[in-house]
Amino acid sequence: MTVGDAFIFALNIYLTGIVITFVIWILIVAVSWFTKKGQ
Amino acid sequence: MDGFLSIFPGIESFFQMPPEMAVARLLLIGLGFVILYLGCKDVLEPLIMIPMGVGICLVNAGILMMPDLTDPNKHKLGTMFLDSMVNTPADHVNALQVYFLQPIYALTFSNGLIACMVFLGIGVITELDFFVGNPKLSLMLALPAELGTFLTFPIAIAMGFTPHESAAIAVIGTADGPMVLFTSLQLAKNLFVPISIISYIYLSIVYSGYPYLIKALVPKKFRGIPMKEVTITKVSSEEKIAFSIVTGTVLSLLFPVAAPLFVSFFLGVIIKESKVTRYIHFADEVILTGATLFLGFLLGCLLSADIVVNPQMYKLIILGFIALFLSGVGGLLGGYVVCWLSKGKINPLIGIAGVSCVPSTAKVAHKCANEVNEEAFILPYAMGPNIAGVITSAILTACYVTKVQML
Repeated sequence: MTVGDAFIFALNIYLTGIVITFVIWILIVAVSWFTKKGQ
Repeated sequence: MDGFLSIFPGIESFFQMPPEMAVARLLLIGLGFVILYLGCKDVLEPLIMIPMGVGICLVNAGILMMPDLTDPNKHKLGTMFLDSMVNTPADHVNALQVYFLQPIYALTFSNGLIACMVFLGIGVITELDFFVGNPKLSLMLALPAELGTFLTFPIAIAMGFTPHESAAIAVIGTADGPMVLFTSLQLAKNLFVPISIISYIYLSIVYSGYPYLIKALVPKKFRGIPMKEVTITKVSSEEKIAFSIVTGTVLSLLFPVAAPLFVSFFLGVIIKESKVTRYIHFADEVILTGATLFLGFLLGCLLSADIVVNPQMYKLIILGFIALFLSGVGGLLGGYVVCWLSKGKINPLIGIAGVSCVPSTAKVAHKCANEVNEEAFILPYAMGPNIAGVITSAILTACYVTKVQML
């Protein structure tokens, strides 16, 4: 693996992390909405 | 002279090994004393460093000729502590009868259980309020604080490490001990000991090292922002339990390889929020305390002279520093962006709390703000990105473990 390939690989992982973090944010908002609605 | 030395095999062993190993052994005994002293003085994290210092001193002193378990006719230099190199089931059974720490090593280290036990304890002492109440701000600050995790991978490749080893090294940038332990055990067992020891020593230094980085990069007027205009939303226990079970399930579904870490952390959070006092005491006082003690002590006992004379160790020391430095810089840059977006209401120092290392980085941010402005009480706000940092660290670790294994 060249340094360039490694950078792209790490960038790919970082971007995947951002997408999943966004999913987690949506989940928190949804869970918050549902729990508040249930109370 | 030979007769005298044979009475004291520990001293005799210095003459039975190559000179550079003997010197490294002496240096390690000295290092053990230094780590123990700094741990007792609270300069380094005492919970890990005191048992680690004792382990390093004693394991490097107590070396003697031992029968080779793989070939009974041969002898090799070893200790009565443990043998981390045994592979076959028969060797494991033999080792369990000889080395007193072998049962703990075999049952908790080789499978990553010790990391999960620490993570369970961290879950129990974690305050999720600011994170669940302000998820957008917390997660926005946690992502830039992973800059070291991102950039250390190509740097490690450039320094000659394999992709598996580089990923394990890059995870030092998450500044999360259990995560580093788990990844190095999964991806680079050959470097597990040096990576873990370097990572834990650096994480202990974070508390005294990051304030210099903050003072170098953040002017006084920004450090003193009191954040009084930012409100902390009250979050119910039901909400935190619902968040934990849903997030834990989704993350385990996405990354089954890292599911043991997710389950440990979120189980800890759920135990805390469900207020089952007996479980809370057990997880905090027994599991977390016991796991931390054995983690520090066994890591110390694993640091032998042959690891120190390995040239890769010096590269790891440099890479560990780069990883944590970049994560700290990334965190502060994120803090600046959020400060600018909030028109100066948010103190940029809470960005460095995104470097997960719970709760050290949040305390560092608070301490540096409080030094400049006594009214700046930013610890509750810093805990949000701190917890978000644990979650983004777990996500990036899971991504590395999953994707590197596909290469």
